Amino acid sequence: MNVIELRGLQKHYGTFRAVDGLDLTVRQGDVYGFLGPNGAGKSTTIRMMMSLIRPTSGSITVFGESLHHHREKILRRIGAIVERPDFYNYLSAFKNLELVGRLSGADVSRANIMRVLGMVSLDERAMSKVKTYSHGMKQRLGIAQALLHNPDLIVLDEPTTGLDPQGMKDIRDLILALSADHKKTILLSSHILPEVELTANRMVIINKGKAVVEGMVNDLLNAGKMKVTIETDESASVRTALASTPWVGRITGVTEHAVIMQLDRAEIADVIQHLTAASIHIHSVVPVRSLEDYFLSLTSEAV
Amino acid sequence: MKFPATLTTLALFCVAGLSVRAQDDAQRVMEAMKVRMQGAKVYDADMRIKVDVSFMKVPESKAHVHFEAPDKTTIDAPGFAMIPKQGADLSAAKLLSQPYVAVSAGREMFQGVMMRKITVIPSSESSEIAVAVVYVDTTTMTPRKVVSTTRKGGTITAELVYNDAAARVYCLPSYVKLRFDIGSFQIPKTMSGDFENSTKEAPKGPQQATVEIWYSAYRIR
Amino acid sequence: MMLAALRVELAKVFSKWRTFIGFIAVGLLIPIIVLAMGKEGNQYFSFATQALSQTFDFKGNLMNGYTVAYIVFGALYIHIPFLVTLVSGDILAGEATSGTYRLIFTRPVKRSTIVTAKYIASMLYVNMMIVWMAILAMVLGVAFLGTGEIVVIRSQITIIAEHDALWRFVLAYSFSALSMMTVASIAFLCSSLVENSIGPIMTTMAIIIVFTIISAIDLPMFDVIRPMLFTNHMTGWKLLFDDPVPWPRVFTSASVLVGHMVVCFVAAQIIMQRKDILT
Repeated sequence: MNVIELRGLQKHYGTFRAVDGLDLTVRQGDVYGFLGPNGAGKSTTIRMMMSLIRPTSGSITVFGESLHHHREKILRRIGAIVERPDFYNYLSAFKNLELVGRLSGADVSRANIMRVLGMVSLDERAMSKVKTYSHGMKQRLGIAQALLHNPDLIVLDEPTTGLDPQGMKDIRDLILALSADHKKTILLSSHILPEVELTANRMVIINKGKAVVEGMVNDLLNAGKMKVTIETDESASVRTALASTPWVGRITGVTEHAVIMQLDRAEIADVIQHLTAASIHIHSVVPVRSLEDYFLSLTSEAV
Repeated sequence: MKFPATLTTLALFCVAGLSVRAQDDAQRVMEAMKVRMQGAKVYDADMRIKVDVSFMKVPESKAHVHFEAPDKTTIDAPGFAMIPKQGADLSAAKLLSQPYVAVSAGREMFQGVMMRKITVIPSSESSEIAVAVVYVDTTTMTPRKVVSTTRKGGTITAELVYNDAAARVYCLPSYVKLRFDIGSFQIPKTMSGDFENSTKEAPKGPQQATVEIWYSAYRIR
Repeated sequence: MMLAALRVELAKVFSKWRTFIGFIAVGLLIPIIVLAMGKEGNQYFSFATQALSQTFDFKGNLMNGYTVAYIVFGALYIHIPFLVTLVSGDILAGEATSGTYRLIFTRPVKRSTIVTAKYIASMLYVNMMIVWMAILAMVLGVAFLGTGEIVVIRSQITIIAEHDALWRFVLAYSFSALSMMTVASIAFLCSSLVENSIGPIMTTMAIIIVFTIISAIDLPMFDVIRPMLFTNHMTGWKLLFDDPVPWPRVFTSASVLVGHMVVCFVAAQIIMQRKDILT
């Protein structure tokens, strides 16, 4: 079942097109990476999905129903952080959750609120006013308010911003647990690409309001050129061996013990065979397609 | 001719005599009323007071008058009351309580009854009243109307009605209607803080007040 | 869901210290005024009636709790609007400033429900303020100075009998609550238009000041618009201390104020329904 379907989604501000015909599909159980450079239209899209902004045209279907016609029914099943999590600073974390929980129809018993705060390690500061919270603590509180009413779809916009490495890992583990153990569908927008790479199974990259590529993370990362690190003590000989081949132009870096090349997956075996034939001893071959590389390759091309 | 002079002299004597007789008569009438009034050594009565002043809205109020001879009058009210300083203490009685000269001023119809008009001039310099004209109902020997001119130049008109037979004996009225001048009046704007243009303007110039007092439940000793 | 939303809004309103500024200010001012009037209030009355004191004796407790309550009411009436706008001007714009529109408008509650709940919370605050003022003025006034007739000094002096006072106060305070709700409605509308709360507060006060000045200046060119200005009708509570009460004028003024409230509320609803939440 498709949890989210965006078709031809548009949002114009005068002549500026913030979202320009965006199509994407989030399936049930996905941890869906939602990526794009600054100004690509990610926040605008998320705001339209959360009915904070009215689309200029296009459709938003969530849980098989039109958001325009079944807004409250749909929002009852969504928990979201939209950009920076802001709260009522003059109230405690507990009170903030109690108030938003009432609006969501959630269980606002002390036990449930403390349970959710415990999930994000804020239970000991539950009664402190939010104005005393650090940015990281507010971020975690944002996740807590998204989980309070046990939603089926969780939309997380930059959930790990401002967190220390342990905090990031905790959130990452939480996301994976929510997906695997609780069967939640998660839409994850983040600039911290390694985080998305470690948690998302599907993703879309958007740029200038349009989807550039969408699909399974592994498939996308394995398609096209990837960074291949060939570990060898004969780095200088590698260039010589490849001099007469078209692969010589793919060498992007040479160190004392390694040669780095940009190769298609299908070319790797041929290159290794050629180097072996040239009697060059190879310790290891490590093909790596980082999301960052992929992202930059797509978005810079699009620019 | 001596005849016209004699006649004139005689006429003058007759007029003088008549005048003296008229004055004597007026004085007698007033004295008779005074005696009756003084018959009530102590009395109490309930008062109901209605004040009509053009720039004021005042509710009817209740008061109580207590009189002890010769001239001690106390007026109390359980709540709010506007008591006219002059006239509420039964002006005719107060007028006659000091030395005076009464002069007949003819007759005049008042409220369908022919009244004897008597001008009363207080002799005392301390009297607030300079001159008063008393309309006496000779059938009941009660003052029905008193028009007093004060030394300050104001005029107080009192109309009296006597429906209580027992009180009438002592010339104690059951109803008095007073009309008098109260001078110019202006409420400072800053006090009212009222900038509404739709409310009526405060009246300008000297104003008149009308006060009606009903006396009841006389206890006379 | 309306009750839940209203409960949430009231919890927020009464968790802010600025909500209590008005209650504290009134709570401090009224005892001071009552004490001052008690000590020197008779001079106030004498000043107004000095021409009459030569011809009348005034009996009774004229500088009493009822009269003082009336005077207090008239004195504070000018300043209560500012206290009202502190809450109403912030109730929508404050969410934009703090970024919490994103928190509440992503809930499964209609925007119109949340906006209505905010409006009702704002009106409840106004009514609580007026009730507080009424209770304080009456209770303190009567406790210190007793009861008696109300002396109303306007373009004429009206003395209202003691037994005739209470119902007038009840209606007058109700009318003034209506007036203040109108002010709150205007601040509410302004609050829906902007994203900081200072703007609506200052704008509402500016509107009141300008309209009051136009109402006060006696120029024929203003005669046409004056009946339409809500400030011209806000002082309708004074009519309830006239004798007799000009009921048609009272109802007209009340209707104008209710009309303003309806227009402001509906306009704010339309604005918030169509508003893109970008903060």
